[in-house]
Amino acid sequence: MNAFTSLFMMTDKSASLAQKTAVGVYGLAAGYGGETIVRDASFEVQQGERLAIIGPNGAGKSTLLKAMLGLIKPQAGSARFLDRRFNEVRQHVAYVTQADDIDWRFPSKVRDLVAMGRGVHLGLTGRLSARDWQAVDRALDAVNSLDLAHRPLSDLSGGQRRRVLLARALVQDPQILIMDEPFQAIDEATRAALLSVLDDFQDDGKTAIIVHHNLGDVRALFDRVVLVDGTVTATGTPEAVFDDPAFTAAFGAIAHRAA
Amino acid sequence: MLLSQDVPILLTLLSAAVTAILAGSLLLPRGQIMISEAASHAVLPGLILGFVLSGDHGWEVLLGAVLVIALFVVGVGWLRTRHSFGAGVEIAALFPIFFGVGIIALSLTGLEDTGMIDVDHILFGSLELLLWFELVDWQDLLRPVVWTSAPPQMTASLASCFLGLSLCLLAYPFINRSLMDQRFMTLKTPVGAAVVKVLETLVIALAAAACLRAAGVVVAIALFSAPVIAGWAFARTLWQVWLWAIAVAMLAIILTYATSLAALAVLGVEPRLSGILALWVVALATLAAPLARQLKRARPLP
Amino acid sequence: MDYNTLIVLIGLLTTGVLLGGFGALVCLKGENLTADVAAHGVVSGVVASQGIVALFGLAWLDVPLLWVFGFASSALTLGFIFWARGRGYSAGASQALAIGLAYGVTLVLMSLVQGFGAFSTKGLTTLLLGDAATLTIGRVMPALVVLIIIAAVFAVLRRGLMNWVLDPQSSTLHGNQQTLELIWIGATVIVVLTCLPALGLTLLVGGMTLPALIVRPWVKGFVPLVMASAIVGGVFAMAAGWLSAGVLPLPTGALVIVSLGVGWLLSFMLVRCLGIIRLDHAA
Repeated sequence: MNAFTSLFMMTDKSASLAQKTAVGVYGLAAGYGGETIVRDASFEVQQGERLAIIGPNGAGKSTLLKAMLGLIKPQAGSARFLDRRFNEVRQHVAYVTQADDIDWRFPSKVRDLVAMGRGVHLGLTGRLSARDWQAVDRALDAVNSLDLAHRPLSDLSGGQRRRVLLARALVQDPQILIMDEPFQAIDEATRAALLSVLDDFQDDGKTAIIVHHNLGDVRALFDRVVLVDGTVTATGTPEAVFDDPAFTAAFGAIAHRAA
Repeated sequence: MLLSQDVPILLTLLSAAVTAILAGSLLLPRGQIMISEAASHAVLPGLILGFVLSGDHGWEVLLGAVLVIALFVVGVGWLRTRHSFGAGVEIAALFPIFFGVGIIALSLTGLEDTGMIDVDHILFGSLELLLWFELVDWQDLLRPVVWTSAPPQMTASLASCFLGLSLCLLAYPFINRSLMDQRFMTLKTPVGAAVVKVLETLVIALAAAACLRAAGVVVAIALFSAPVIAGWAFARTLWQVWLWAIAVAMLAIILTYATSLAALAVLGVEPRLSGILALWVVALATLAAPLARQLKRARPLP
Repeated sequence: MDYNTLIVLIGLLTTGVLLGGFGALVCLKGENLTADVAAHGVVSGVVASQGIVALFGLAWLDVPLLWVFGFASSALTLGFIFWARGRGYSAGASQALAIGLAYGVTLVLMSLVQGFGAFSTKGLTTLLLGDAATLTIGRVMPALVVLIIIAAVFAVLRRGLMNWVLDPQSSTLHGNQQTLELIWIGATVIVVLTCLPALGLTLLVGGMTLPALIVRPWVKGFVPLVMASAIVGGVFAMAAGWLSAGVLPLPTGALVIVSLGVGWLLSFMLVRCLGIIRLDHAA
């Protein structure tokens, strides 16, 4: 990062405080085993926004999310949530992982998995009170999955797994929701349920950052877009990003027409 | 150099290492390298079975090892799809059972009490005891009669190496395709896939038996894994992995010898060769990746 | 039943319960082979401690030194695995290198220590294969204490542990990951050290794995799985010890593992006969 960029970011960051920045990413670089996948990524998300992170396969979208949350150690730069470090506000930030990251054969019930979301408020022992269990049931209800509460994890279909993972995030009662490809390979009912929850979430003035693949519905679903292609190559409204030369460079002309 | 003492050690170690490298190169890309650690333990009942049948360290011992390892590898493959636990549970479940059966068989047959099979040697190797009295000159290596008195561990190890190398070279294209995408190969050429599977099992068994009788159970895993991991850092194709790994193994053997001599001269003790070898191959494997990165030849780590 | 046999049976029961219960967690995490590596890592520490005792005449510090060095070497071996994984090596490659390292260090140290007559190859063989018949009250009591402590820790942390085993990423986000990792490493090394005299490190991993495999088809929940594995581990270990002491005079450790293997086979066949398919390819 050169001095000018650095200065620009400092200014931008301080300015954004007044605009209630929910998430700020500043010069973040991350990768695996010494290899850098995302470098010098910078963008901000305002409170109440629904932001899509798009990019071609292997562009580093999931790596960027994981580095923001400290799931992998950033090689450079930082991420701020509600203008604080993640460790200080972790109870306000929920992450919905890809369904593949969970071992669904684990001997446990759906209710127990959703209850994990309360863990951030409960410390190491994770002991739940009656109020916590009520919150678990409400979260399951919100994603139309209360009937699954006592089912074993191994009984769930792909769409049900997405809903349950969203319920786990909701039960945390977060201000910021970060999701990794939640709309991938789901049926229409699940998609409708997810969208309904996201709409309610945004109506409450809360922020959602979502890694998204389907360029066709970005305009309909998101306020702003961050294009990632090894670094952040464009940010702005969906229209602005789709018209940016960086978009064509990342996806090609065919994708540009499709979007 | 004392030919009757050093040549059998060097030949045994090198041939065992080459066989182990062939097997390790088939296991490492599939994330199954720990099968080699398990197989080197699981082979015990096969060796005892072969010994009971033949009464000496003959070919039946190798055959017994191959049979038991085949059973083990098939069992691991079958079990992998049958349990609901994390990775490696199938290996961790099966090899102690095989090893336990071996220990019980050893006790029941009384082989250890008679001194015919020494558990210490099986576990820690007996390289230092390999002696080839008839070998007094390099030219003796060309005399067939001298080979009849060669240490059985060395001939078994050399035979395992020759057989393993021949099989791998003959089936190289199939092995290569299988390593790239086994499922695709199973769909397109099921016979070829099955042949590769059988071959792999055979090579693992040969390597486990060779290592067990030469370097001991405990360092087999180092020979299976470390040279291949080191070779991986530089090579782009499977045959290059083999060549790099063999070069690393040879370097480790030379360093082992040098360390042993140095320890004897400085400390007055001669550390076990198998232990020093394990340390050297692991050290070379650990150094390989940073070195390859420095030389701009780095490959993704296995 | 004489006093010595009783002590051996109590020791085996404790070992079986510890390995079975802790092993269920290990199985769910898929870290059986890492636990195996931890077991291998202990040995170089044991050899080193024996050498130091002999070299400096510290016979009175024999047991504490053995625990300290065993713990340190095992933790270092686990540390090597984490280091290698952090550098980008796969789990298998890291484990393989760590085992090679542990064995190499052990054999070289043993050669040096043997110079003082402090440790023999036979001693190392006993560590590898175990010798339950020689269990004394001095060895069984620490195992009982460890069992009580680990059971208490599990009772308090069971939900946090379940969350961590099910989804470590989530625990990282909740800020519990490092604490639980440390508890996990400590518990792994302590369980291994405690159970080593009875089963030996080669067979120990079987004691961790097989009880969980036996009970898995029969239980639905996390806590029942851990409890049932502990009970099965304890019962099989004690029964095999009893058989070994009387009817079948065979090596105890091997008999424990083989009988667990038979139990697993029976459980599997029973599951097939009863048509229980809960666990097959659930994902």
